[in-house]
Amino acid sequence: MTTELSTGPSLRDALLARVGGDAALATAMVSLFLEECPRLLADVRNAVGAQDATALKFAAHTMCGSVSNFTAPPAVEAAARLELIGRSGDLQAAGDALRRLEMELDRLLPALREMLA
Amino acid sequence: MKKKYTVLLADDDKVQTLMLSTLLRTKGYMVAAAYDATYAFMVAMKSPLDAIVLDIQMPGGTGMGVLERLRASSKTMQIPVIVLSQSTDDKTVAAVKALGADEFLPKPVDPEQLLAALARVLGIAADPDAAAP
Repeated sequence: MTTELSTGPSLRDALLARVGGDAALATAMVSLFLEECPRLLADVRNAVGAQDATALKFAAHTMCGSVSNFTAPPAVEAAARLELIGRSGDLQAAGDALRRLEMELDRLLPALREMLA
Repeated sequence: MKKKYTVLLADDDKVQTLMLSTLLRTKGYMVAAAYDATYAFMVAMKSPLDAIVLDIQMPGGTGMGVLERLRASSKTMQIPVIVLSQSTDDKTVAAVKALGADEFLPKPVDPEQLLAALARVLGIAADPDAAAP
């Protein structure tokens, strides 16, 4: 299965388009997300580790909302999948879904860091 | 003198709140921010607000709960509320409208859609600097 990730210039262009060309705002949004992401991911990991469906629903929802500020459909979908798992209450697939989210963030975060370089 | 409209952004998504608050300020709005439901309700009770942009799901309660309390209080029942949600199904939209939301916008929020929604609930032009009395 292939996944699409807007990287480099297209990621930057999409964000700039979203904020009306305000480069300083785009940079601030990326910086804030890079700062927030470890905490958001830790909340998701903790919820999966504790097999806490309610906590997973909320943590994944927050991650999904935050990552959706950027053009990164695979990461958004991975977070949304975890939120659905949390809502269902059946966490059997949560581990695999978490690994998928981590993989997508491993692709997205370097691309975002590039925007700050 | 042009009126400065004050908007509360109540959303735990700090990245989106940064984006929306910056853009609203460039359009002449004054902006307050709250990252959890309890604080959002407290700000709404204590501050003179012209509109509230409210995420449904926040820590410290829910946007639905905040909306219910806003509509139950004589201090806040008249403040227009624009609800944001990643859930755009008919049931969710109907539920927030039933609780008294003035507008519903899907997340991630298109800034132009938010400006248009604010203009509608405030009864002004999309750029308040250009049209405020």
